[in-house]
Amino acid sequence: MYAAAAAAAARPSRRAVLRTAFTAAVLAGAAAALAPVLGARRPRQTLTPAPLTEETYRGRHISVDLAGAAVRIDGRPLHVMRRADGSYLSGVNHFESFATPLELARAAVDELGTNQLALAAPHHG
Amino acid sequence: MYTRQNQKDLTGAQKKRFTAAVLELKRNGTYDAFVRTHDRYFVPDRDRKLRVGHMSPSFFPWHRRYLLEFEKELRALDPGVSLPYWDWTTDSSPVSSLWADDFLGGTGREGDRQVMTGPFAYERGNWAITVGVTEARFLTRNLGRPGNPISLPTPAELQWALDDPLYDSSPWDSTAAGGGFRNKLEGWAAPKSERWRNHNKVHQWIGGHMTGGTAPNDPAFWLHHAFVDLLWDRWQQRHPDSGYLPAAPLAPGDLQRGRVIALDEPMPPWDVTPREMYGHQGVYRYA
Repeated sequence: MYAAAAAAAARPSRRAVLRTAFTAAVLAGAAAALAPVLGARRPRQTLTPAPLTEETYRGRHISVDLAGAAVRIDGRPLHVMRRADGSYLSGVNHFESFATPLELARAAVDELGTNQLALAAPHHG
Repeated sequence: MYTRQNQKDLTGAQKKRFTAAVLELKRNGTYDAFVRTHDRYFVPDRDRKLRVGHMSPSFFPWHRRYLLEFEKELRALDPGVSLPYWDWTTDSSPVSSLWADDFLGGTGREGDRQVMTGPFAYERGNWAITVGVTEARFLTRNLGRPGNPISLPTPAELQWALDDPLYDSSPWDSTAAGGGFRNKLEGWAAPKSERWRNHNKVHQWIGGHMTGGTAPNDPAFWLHHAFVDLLWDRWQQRHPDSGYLPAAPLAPGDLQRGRVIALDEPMPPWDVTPREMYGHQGVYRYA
């Protein structure tokens, strides 16, 4: 279907570790601590955790915040854009698009080789 | 009136004059301003903003003017220089003379994809990347994308785009599926089995900087787009009764109104219209 993803799946050396983390865990803890002050009249509640998908792909750490479609590679932000059909483009791949932010991130890793994303990339639009 | 030649026909002296002029524009800062302009005008089509350079009908006239501006700078330095074009349907090998040491240099090395040969190799000291999305200060390429091989567009694939008598169609973006030379040649429209074609596929085949918004960091960009410009001529000659679309500004209520350029609307940053860019008689010709 998508060439980069298909190639990734076919690559035997790839050791991808998928897990789901909860970015809001720390925030949830803070909210619990403040609950007696801020939410005295409400029942105690925890924040809805924002799902964060993380994996190691070809030795690089990818994180995708599914809520905001924010993608990081080794902690560096990847500029993400959308096509009219809903698919994703990145600062690294302007001339092809991907069905999901994770496929987008893997394609960026493929294209980057051993290079790191810049901390501040030029912006357009 | 000057001539843009097929890169394969350039003499060694012509290649040297071209690359020397490009290196001088890099040295004096002009080159990187062009890189920034290309990146700034890449607007994806889900954004409710004006798109002039990509995913829109003005893909051809915008790039024609962009190339003319660059060529004007080259010719101010050396009036004997013009942009060569690269016919990627025939010179389709990573070992073509295009990628030799005396012209654009070759593919990147393993790992960091750094171009190590030719006048734009970082270690020559004349080609540092200042506008990029990575920390790499060197030009990167990955010709043919060996890890996930891709081929350059075939003559048949190109012909499929040239044969379409319709210039472009609603919604005038990367999803325009009602036919249209523009989206087929820009390369968003493709059979499901392929997904990308023509112009887009060439950017992917070169790899490295060419896959991003700062693609003009690679001087191969100009040779690729000179051929794209020539193909607009070929389409016009093949379909003399067709013309640029949309011919008139879109109606109020059209979701693309204000987001695409009609025939007589001005394109930033130069405020020229597609009509003004439709031909180039008296300025340059293709050999």
